[in-house]
Amino acid sequence: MFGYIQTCKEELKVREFEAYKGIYCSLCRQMGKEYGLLTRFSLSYDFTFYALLRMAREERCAGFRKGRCVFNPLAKCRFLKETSASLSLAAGVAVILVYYSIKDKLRDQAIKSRIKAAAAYLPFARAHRKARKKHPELERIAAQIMTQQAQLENDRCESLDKAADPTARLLGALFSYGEESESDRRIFQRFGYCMGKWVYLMDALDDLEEDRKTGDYNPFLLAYAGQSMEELRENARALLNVTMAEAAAAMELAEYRRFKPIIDNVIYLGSVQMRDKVFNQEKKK
Amino acid sequence: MLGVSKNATNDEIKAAYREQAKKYHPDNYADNPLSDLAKEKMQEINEAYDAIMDERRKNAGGQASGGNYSAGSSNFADIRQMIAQGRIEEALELLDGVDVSRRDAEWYFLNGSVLYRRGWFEDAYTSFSTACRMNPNNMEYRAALDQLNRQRSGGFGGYRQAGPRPAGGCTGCDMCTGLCCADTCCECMGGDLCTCC
Repeated sequence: MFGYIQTCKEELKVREFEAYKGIYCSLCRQMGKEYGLLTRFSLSYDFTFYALLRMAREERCAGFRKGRCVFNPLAKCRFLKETSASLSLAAGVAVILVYYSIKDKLRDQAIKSRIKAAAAYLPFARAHRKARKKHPELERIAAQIMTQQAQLENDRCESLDKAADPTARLLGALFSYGEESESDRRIFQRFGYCMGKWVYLMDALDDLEEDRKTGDYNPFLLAYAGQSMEELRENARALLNVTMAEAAAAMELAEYRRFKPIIDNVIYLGSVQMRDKVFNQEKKK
Repeated sequence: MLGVSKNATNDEIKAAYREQAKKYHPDNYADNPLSDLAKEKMQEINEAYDAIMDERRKNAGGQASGGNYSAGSSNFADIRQMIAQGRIEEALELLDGVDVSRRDAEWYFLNGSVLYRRGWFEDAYTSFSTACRMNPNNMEYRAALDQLNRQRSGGFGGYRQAGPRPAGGCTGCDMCTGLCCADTCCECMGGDLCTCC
């Protein structure tokens, strides 16, 4: 489910890339600080984007300083001079979502991934308890929606829109969380909804070949049953396109103080690149 | 608002205005629950543009924003009004309650509008397609389906075009071209009639 929201690196300016990387490293450090070293391994670009989008709209940004990477002492990273509420929130969101993804993997996938998930479970269960204390409302939403998602998949839901709805609503809630003005809340609700839908559909497409062989649940196989693989892919591509176009339309309505070119890059270029990667089966899970 | 400097030339301002206006054009936000916000943005841009141009003592006014949700004659006028007011879930409930035998093209169109606003793009597409199939002559239904088709083929509204335009169907552009052609033909014929035959 993670790693689909990324930049198109080739099209970023160097200073944009450095800022993006700086937020990634800062978030990694923040997770280590708040939730323990092991949770750092789970950091993905999606959460970097989540932090970046929030920081783009914060009153002020302290700028970056140089420091050392924990994992690679030879590498120098950039970190934010001051930690921000966005960063802490993004760390909490990451821990909560990764925890539920681990729990999900423990339940129903192949034995290999179940062992991996079991190994990750303990440190994340601890981190999750901490995150739950800090962000009880987010935790409540996530828990409720994850149950709905699992239920739909158990029932082998045949509608793509319906199957994607829980994840979409979850991201709608996460992206609009804490927005004070009514209009911003609506904008990021819609933006998050479309992003969540897009991520869910991308994930389902990524698993398509595997699920076809194993017979596991995949909404595309049910919704487009009877279509050739070619037709299915064409329809899936169209659905992904309209979903991202609507996310973009919502995103453009908000005001940003900084990082807008990076946001544009993720939405207009990164998403297209990632979509093509998944279609060409280049994205490794 | 337009992102231009004080010393920008009139052409630069016009270009910046056009880019912004294209981005927030009502067509890009048709059936979007945020259309009111887009309209506000459009208004701000228009005002900014007018203010600059007034200041420069030129009389180039901004484009009026149009293309609003029209309330034509409808069998489901109440539902239409509900959608215009943003009461999506209620509208969906009412639509669901309509007996299958009473579901005409209008029903499918409204159903598509509601689903689209809700973010259910796949089902919205099916609904709009059905509406157009049942009543191919309705321009409103056609416009909704065309807009969705543009997005499906990879278009990002007025902001960036990442894919080819859709083929087939009759778009607004096609209509204008058609009208131009018809007009020219008539004039040609008229001319011929007078001078030669």
